[in-house]
Order: sequence, then structure tokens, then C-alpha cells
Amino acid sequence: MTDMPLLTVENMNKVFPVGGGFMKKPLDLYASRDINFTLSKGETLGLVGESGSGKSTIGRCILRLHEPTSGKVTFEGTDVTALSPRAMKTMRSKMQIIFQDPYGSLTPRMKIGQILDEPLRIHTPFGKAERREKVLEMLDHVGMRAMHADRYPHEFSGGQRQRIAIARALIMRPSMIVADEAVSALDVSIQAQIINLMVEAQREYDLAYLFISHDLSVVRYMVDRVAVLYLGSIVELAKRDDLYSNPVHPYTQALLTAVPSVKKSERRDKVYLSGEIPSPLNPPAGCPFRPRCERAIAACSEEMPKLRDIGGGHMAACHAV
Amino acid sequence: MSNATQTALPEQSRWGREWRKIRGNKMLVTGGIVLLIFLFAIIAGPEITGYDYAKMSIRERFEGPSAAHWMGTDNFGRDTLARVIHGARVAFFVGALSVAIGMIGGMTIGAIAGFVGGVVDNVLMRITDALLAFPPLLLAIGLVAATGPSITTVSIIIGIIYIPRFARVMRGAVLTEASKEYVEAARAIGQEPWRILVFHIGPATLSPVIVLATVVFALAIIIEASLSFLGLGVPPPTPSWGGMLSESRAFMTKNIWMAIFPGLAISVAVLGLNLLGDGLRDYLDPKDY
Amino acid sequence: MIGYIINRILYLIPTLFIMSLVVFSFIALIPGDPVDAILGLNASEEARAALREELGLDRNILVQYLSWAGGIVTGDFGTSLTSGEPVMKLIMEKLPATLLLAFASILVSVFIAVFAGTIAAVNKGNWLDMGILVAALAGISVPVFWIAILAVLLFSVHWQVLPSIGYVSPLEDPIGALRHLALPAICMGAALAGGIARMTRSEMIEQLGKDYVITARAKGLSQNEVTYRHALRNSLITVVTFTGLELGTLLSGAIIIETIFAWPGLGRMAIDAIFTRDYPTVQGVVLFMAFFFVFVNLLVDISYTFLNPQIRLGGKS
Repeated sequence: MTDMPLLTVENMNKVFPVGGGFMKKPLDLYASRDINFTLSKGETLGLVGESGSGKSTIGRCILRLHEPTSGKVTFEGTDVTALSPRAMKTMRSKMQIIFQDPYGSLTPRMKIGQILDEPLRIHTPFGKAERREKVLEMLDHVGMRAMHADRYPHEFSGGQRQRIAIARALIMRPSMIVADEAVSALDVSIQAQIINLMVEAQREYDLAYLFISHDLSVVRYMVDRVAVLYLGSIVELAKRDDLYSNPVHPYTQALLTAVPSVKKSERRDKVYLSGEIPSPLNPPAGCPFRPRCERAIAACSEEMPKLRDIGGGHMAACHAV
Repeated sequence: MSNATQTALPEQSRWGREWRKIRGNKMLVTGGIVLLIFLFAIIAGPEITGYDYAKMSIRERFEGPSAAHWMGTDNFGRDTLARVIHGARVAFFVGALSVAIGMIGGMTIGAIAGFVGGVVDNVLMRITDALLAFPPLLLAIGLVAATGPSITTVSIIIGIIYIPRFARVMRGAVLTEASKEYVEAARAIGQEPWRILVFHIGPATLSPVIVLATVVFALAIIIEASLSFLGLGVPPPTPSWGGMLSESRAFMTKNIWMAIFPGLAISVAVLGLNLLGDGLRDYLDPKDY
Repeated sequence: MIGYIINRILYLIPTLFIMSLVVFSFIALIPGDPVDAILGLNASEEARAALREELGLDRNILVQYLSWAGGIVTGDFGTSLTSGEPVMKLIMEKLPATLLLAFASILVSVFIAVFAGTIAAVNKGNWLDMGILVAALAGISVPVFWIAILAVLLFSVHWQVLPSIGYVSPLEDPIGALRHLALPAICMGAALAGGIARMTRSEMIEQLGKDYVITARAKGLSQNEVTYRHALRNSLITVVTFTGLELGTLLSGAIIIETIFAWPGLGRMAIDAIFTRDYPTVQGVVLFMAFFFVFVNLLVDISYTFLNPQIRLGGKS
């Protein structure tokens, strides 16, 4: 394992201008604010948060499907944010994504074989026959059959389509895959199958995952480290076991108490959050979680807490810790 | 690695399923049959009646339908059925050429406007709106009045008049598709934008365009007939349905059949096309997702 | 609200400008020399020079357009070559006849269509509904000039109850006017009714399925009361829009109907001008009718927002 991390995200912000008309200036919506983290080869980092926390935005900005407003993304030593479109195109074969909606992420009028063939045509010099072979091989790897290559997406179930989506992501042998709520739209029984498929793929291809989800129990199974997001910022980042056994940020604590558990020892007293998530267009001054936090102190309404190491690599953004 | 459970659908032949769907769609079938009949008549030509559509015969003037002349004869003794069949050729030629021009022009403009967006979209849509603001027949009359009538000119004019409608539909379809996840997925694998437009978005836009094509085909036939009726369309002596109806007015007391058959032909053709369009709309819609 | 209206009017200006360009180009599209087309090949040099000057063809094309467009803005739609009178004056003379025809046609068509559409909706699925649907589909497929010819055949030739051509001013002779108006209006109304009937039917079906209808029934209103009072009123809004949309068909149909029935309106004026090669009149009338169409659509849009505040606030599409 090399010393340099596979992916480094530094001070990344993503701002969406919202509203505004003929005479009105648009407001700035910070979907992601000052994001910093790293991802190592073969590692799985979970990005956890509610909707609106900015987790999907981060995934897309790293891949430059959205353009980051500011900040730097370094992947395999290259500054991705500074690449030209042509250079970015080549880079794309190394960083892939699986989307949430199995019903929307596959081109409806393309046969499965064509969908899987396309990345090979773009990035590899192989001829038609060789590509076909690789397509069939990959279909088999994800648990589909060769004859499925001539079918259309609408002929398959949700779980099967996600397998195809995974196949499409894997076929270019990327080093990293962003899994954006990849199992959230599936039935629970199918979720387990797909997650297992992803874990096997990780072992076989030495993949790094950025596993985005709102479901803490699913995340727990998959990840090595977890980042918790609130209103566009990372509030806590730690190794999995550290986070689940010793959550430090008030928001993380509240989230974790909501996770149902069979083991009595793991059950906690529920912490009920009051209030609602504030509008990202008009966040509170200082710490965005302050209005709902029981432990807020004076500093919390003045200054935005920065993510800092509170011991053993466990990072938290909280003044009260 | 782990296997998928069972296949989503039973192992029926895909064509078998499609065929059953078509058969169940009465409008599609009816419209299709009507149009096939017309196509047969067009390909076979007026000759199948055994009469020359231009040949006059003083003895046989103003006849009603009979065994010899299925649709009777006109004021010059010409066989009406032969003339109606020739009129079908004219009508369908105009329809086909107009639709071709409208589709090619409209799809290109609409795709560019929808995909590129921004100022380009704005400008193109303003021009489109301005053209859409004209009632089609009005514009056709004005343009044909200037250029002079001929079958090709009329077709080109009608085609150009309908480019905006195709452009709007195409643009709408492109905009709908462009915001969908599979387009983002195509970008994520590194596919080039124009290829995404043609190969990913394109096929999804075909349904509304095809449905519009049948509608425009029918409208083109009506406009051509209207122009010919007013004396601004296909010039005589070429028989066209509108022209035949116009001629029949002078002889309404002598022979009502001259007025009935050409009008009936127009109505049935247009009805067939409308049915086909409605049927296609139903057939093409629920297929995806 | 006023802001919306002003916005819409401002939005129209580029549209009107482009439309004027299109109509202006009619002259440019004439193959060969327009003067030849108008005067024929045997005209004298003086006559041709005179015509050329009158039409402004001796000037540069940009100047031609600007002077023509400048005239339009001040209400000068050109001068007729055949009569020498201002086109606008002629338009104003003929406009009432066309408006009368249009108004009568809309009345006929809305009456038939809303009636038929409602019956079809209430009887959804059974023979009556199917029959009405087929009739409506036939209505929009059958060309209006064929309807007219058949109507003339039936009412004027066969039964001889209605006159087949001509116009009488309602101010002079109301009964006569009505008799002359009957056929043209019925034909045009029949042509429009099909589309409106289909729309009324589908709107009514949607409305009848809605919760408020079930609530009203639960409150004890009879089926008929519910149908006519509640559902119809809401469907009417859509019908108004659709009628606005059919305006184009109305104008196109007017041209044909006026020609067939020798009705002295704008449509016939345009056709006559074409055959006498009176190009300035053709341009003036076509432009006027097109502008008229655009403004009436604007009025329909604005009144629609009054009827349905959801549109104003960006609700239902």
C-alpha cells in the first residue's frame, strides 16, 4: 500500500446560485462547504447524512459531474480539478460511479451489451470481438447471464439493473467507485445481495469506495471509515468502530440512537432532535447545528467549528468537545 | 460471484409480445389498414382502373357510380376513381416530403436548442415562436402566392411551416431526457456530448416525434387540398383532391358524386392518419421503464 | 399581475418583428421580377417604372423593409394596387363580416362540443361515448370545405331552405342576415367542434373522478347537479383555452368558408388580392390577420390567468 492516499479532497466548496430574476440577484446555496478528507487505495469511506446534507454533491464534484466552485481534488497524484476536458475524459476510466435509481441510470433504448460495450469503446483499443468477450465476462462476474446482453433495461428487475450498473462501473477497472445511495432504492433482501457483490468486487479489484448513504446500518457493514455530514459540512470523521462506539458530535449521537438494534447492549437512550434542518440558503451563524444542540456554548453562535483531531485520528467539528 | 435470482420475464419471444400488443391496439390496426389500402392504390396507380385519368369522353359525362365506373365520371367524362387514385399520389407525395423536411429541420433545431441551451436556445425559440404564431394555412397561402404553385414548392413550403412544431417537440423531449440520470451516467464514463445526444438521448425522443409526424402528415394533406381547392395548389390538369372538389362546385346540380368521392378520400386518409397517430401514441408510451 | 401583462406584451415585440420579416419576404420570394408578375410581359416601360417606384422596388432592400415596417407601426398597411385605397381602410371594411362569422362559428361549435363532450364523459365507456368520440374524430379529419360543399348540397340545392352564397348586414335585415350566416357558421362550427368535444370530454372525465365530486355526492347532491355545476365550471376554463388555441383553425377556415360562400370578409379579400396580383394587399391582410391572431391569443392567456390563479402563481401546468 502506497503512502500517498488515492484521493485527497481539500477545501472543496460547491455553491448553487438560486432564485434571482430580472432585477434580483440570486442567493448562494452552499451545497458543500469546506470539505476535507482523504481516501486510500482499497479503502471504503462512508459519507452519511440526511437529504440536503450535500453527500451526493461531494460524490459528483469529485468526478466533476458538477464543477466544484472552489477547492482541490487530487486523484492518483493528479489535480483533477485543473484538468482539461480531454484529459478528464481519460481520467474518468479510473473513477466511476453507481447511481441510486436503477430505473433511471441505464439508457432505456440501449441493449445491455451496448451499455457495457460503450466504456470499452471509449477507453480501450480492443476490437469488437474482444470487447464482446469482456462484456460477457463482466456480466458473468456480476451474476448475470450471457443472453442478457441482448435485452433492454426495462426487462430487468431493480436488483438486476444495479448489477448491470456495477458491471458498467467495473468494466473499466477503476481504482475508485462512488456508490451514491447505490442500494437505497432496492428491497432489503436485494440490498444484501448487491452489497455482497460490491464487497467481492472490492476484494477482487482492490477498489476504493466512497459509499454515500443515509442508512447507518448499511454503512456500518461496508465501511472502514465514516464521515458524517450536516448541512453541507463534515461534522465528524472517524474509523468505523470509533464512530459507532464513541460518537462525539451531538448530531452523530442523535443519528446513532435512532438506529434500531437487536442487541440490547447496543441500544441507546434515544436523543430526540428538536427543530428542523435549517434552510441551506440561510444557515445560522456559527455552527449550523447550534439551534438544535443541547450542548451549545457561546462560541457556537459566533464561529463555525473546524474539523479537528480529538484523539487517535477521530475528527470532529464541535466547540463543545 | 453471487448469482442473480430469476430472470425478470418469462422466456417468450420478444417479437411475439410486441405483435400481441399491436393487435390489441385497435386504433393502430385500423389506421394501419386504412393507410395500407391507400399505399396499395398509390403504388398500383390509376392504371388499375383500366382508365387513363386524363382521357375525356363526352358520351360518359356525369355518370354516377356503376360497374364500369366505380366512382362515376366527371364533367369531362373522365373516370373519377382513376383521378382519385392519382390525387392520392399527389396528396401522399406532399405529405411525405413535407414531413421529411419538417422532421429533419425541426429535429436538428430542437436538439441543438434543447441540448446546448442558453442564448442559442433563446434565439432559436424566439424565431420558432414567431413562426408558430402564424395560422398554417394563412402562411402557406401567402408563400405560395409569392412563389407560384407547383407540387414540389407546395411540399417545401408546408415542410418549412411545420419545422417549428417538430423543433418544439424535439426540444421538449431532449430537455426531459437530458436531466435524467442515464445521461449523467454517460458523461461519467467519459462519452462525448454530441454522441450522448445522438445515441443516448436521441432514441428516447423518437416516440413523440413519430406521433407528431403522423399528425403533420395529415395536416399537410389538408393544407395541400385546401390550397388546390382555392386554386393555389397543384395546377390543373393534374388531378388533386382539392382541385377536384373545387371543380365539382359548378356541377352540383348535375352530379353530386363529383363532390362526394374526392372529399371522402381526403376524410378517410386523414382519419386513417389520425387513428394511426393516436394508436402509435398509446403503443409507444408505456413501453419504457 | 400588471407586471405579468407587461411582461407578456414585451415578449411579443420580437415575435411581431420576426413575423413582419416573414411577410415582407413574400415579395422577395417571387421568382423573377415582381413587376413582370403583376403587369405581365407586355406592359410599357413607363407603367413598369411607375409600378416599380410605387412598390419601392427601386430602393435598397433594407430601406424597403424599414419604410414598410415603419408604415405598419403607424397603421399604414400599404396601398392596394387594384383599388388605390389604403389597405387598412379595406381591412376595416371587411373585418366586421369576418368577426361576425367567427363569433357565430364559435357559438355553434362550443354549443355542440360542450354538450356532446359532457354527454360522452358522463357515459364514459358505453356506446354513446364511443359514438361521440368517433364523430369527433371524424369532425377533425373531414376538411371544412367538404363539409361546406355537402352542406350546400343538402340545404341549398336539395332542400333549398338556405342561401348558398352572399351576405346581408344584420343591421339592415336581421332575418336575412341570419339565413345567410347559417350555413357558413354551421360548417365552420362543425369543423371546430370535434376538437373541443374531445377536450371537454377528457377534462370532464378527469374532473368527475376528483375528490370534490365524490364529496359533493356524499353531501347529497344528485349526479346531474354535480356534473353540471361543479365539474362543468372547472372544465370550462380548459375549454376557453382550447378555443383560444383553435383560433388559428378559425382564421384558416374563415379564408376557405368566405371563398365558398362569397362572404365579404378578410379571407376572401386575401384570396381576391392574390388572384389580382395585388401583393401589397396580400401582405397587408396576411400580416393583419397574423397580428390579430397573436393579440387574441394574448387576451386569452391573460383572461385565463384571471380565471385560474394557479397559473399566475405557477401552479398547475
